[in-house]
Amino acid sequence: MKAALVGIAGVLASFGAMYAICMHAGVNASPAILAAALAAGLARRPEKLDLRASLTKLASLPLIALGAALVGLALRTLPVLGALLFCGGVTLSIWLRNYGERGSAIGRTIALPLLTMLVVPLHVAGAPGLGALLVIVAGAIAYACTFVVQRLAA
Amino acid sequence: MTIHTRMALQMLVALVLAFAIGMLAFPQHWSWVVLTAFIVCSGAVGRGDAVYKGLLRVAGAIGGTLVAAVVSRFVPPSGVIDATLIFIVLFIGMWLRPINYAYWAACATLIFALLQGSQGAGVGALFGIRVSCIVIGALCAVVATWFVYPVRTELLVRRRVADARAALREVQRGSRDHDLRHHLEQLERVAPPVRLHRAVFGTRSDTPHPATLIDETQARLRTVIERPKVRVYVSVAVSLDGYIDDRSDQRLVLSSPEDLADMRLAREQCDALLVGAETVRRDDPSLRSPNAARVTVTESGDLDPALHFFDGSARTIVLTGNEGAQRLRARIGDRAEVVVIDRFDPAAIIAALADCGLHSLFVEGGTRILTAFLAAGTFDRLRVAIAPFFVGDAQAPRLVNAASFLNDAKHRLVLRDVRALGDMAVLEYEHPRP
Repeated sequence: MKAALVGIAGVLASFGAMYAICMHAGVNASPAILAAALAAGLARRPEKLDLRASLTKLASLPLIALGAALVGLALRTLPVLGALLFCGGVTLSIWLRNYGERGSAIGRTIALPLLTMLVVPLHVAGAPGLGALLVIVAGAIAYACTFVVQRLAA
Repeated sequence: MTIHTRMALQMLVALVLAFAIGMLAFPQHWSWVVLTAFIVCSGAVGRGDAVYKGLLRVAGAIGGTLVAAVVSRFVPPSGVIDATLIFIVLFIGMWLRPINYAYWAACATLIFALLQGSQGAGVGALFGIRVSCIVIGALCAVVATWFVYPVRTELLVRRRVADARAALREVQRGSRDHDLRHHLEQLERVAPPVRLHRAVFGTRSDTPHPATLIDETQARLRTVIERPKVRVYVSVAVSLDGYIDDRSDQRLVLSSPEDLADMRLAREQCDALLVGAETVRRDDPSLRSPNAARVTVTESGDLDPALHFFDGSARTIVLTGNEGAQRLRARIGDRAEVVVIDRFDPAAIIAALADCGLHSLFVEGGTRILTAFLAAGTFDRLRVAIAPFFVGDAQAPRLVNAASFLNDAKHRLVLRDVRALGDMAVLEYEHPRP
């Protein structure tokens, strides 16, 4: 029960923060849903990371989310290329488990945005680059909210 | 090839199949096929696990879609209501997921249905397509795990059962290097599909079903894990040349008065005092400490009821085998509790004392008992008091006999305290923390 409460608190915080940004930017709620989905995925497997590892992940997750968004774009415009990239990314994420707990953690970080993109396809109308920026922000907000909520609950 | 490389290749094949079939047969909804293939294949530790997860996914999706149809019928479409419902369902899914994946699958499907409903898509119209996509996605995963470097579930279960039982044997011999909870979890991970198989197909009479093997092993693990922990404090006084006594009839006094007083305080922290039967026979110690039970271990049961040990001034427990128990009960009557143990190693002694409701044990000697506890590393704290003289008799009892010790040169104890008590040097050791 506690894990679920902590998880949903992270999801609500991520969604709320990202929704406010979307309203301010004048775009639809798609990035907010993406942030909520990322937070739900992160809540599944809480990691006990020190501050440095957490900051590294905070920096890497938005970039990986951006990569995943590009894969999502490829799936819509060049489906075969998108499918190959998706299959490669997910396969790599599992193969990395060969390198112990650290490899598994990197694998989970790669797989999460890819799957989230599959579940919540991003459709942001507006200036070119705005969608990419919002994806980066959604990834950062999801991780930061989950991290803070889990630390407060610990 | 490692298990992770196998799983990665299985995932690759499952996803390629799912993309190919999904994009050709369901151009608008291929992502449902791919997502299901991923979910079913992800972390599937054997063929049976993939089939089991596939069934849960399909059952959950059907349940979730039916609930979504009911919700859409009675709750008018509204952004705020839909969003609230989605978060409530997400919370319920997160809460119930540890109990069974099917609940999460149902909640996730309901969330997607509500999301699509809020975007104008009809829930009922998509029911058939959704279930078809999910069944096909699950089949892609099952085919991949079945034919690409497959891992047979029965072999996997038997391997994990063997690993768990080996660890259990080591722990029962006194080893503290095995995490039995880890084995319990590893067995639970492979248990659901074989339990389902047993429920559906029953068991053959000639060989135990893998699910039965898991249940039996888990029960044994839980018995050991859930047994109350007994803290063990080993205390010994030795001469400078490592003897705990000489060969005379009188017990050799090694300790100084200050050391004896300190040891009495340490004894009072424990609720049981243990000495070997040979020490009871030879030294006839009174073993007095407030509220502490006296305990001894004897294979033969050959103990004289006239000894101080049986004077009735404290709770008295004798651990022995079946034959020893018969002999003792005839000789000492109700002067002591006679507890039968099937092995005479420290783990069995501790388990028996835990069953007697004792939580802390003060081990005093003699050499056989000390050797058994120290060799197996079965102690939380070791107190060694060194007397400032030599015994110099090779036939006198030593601190320990020759044995294979857990704490050898590569596994050194941690020195926690050194102090002088009169003319004695007292050292306190602990095991290193993992």
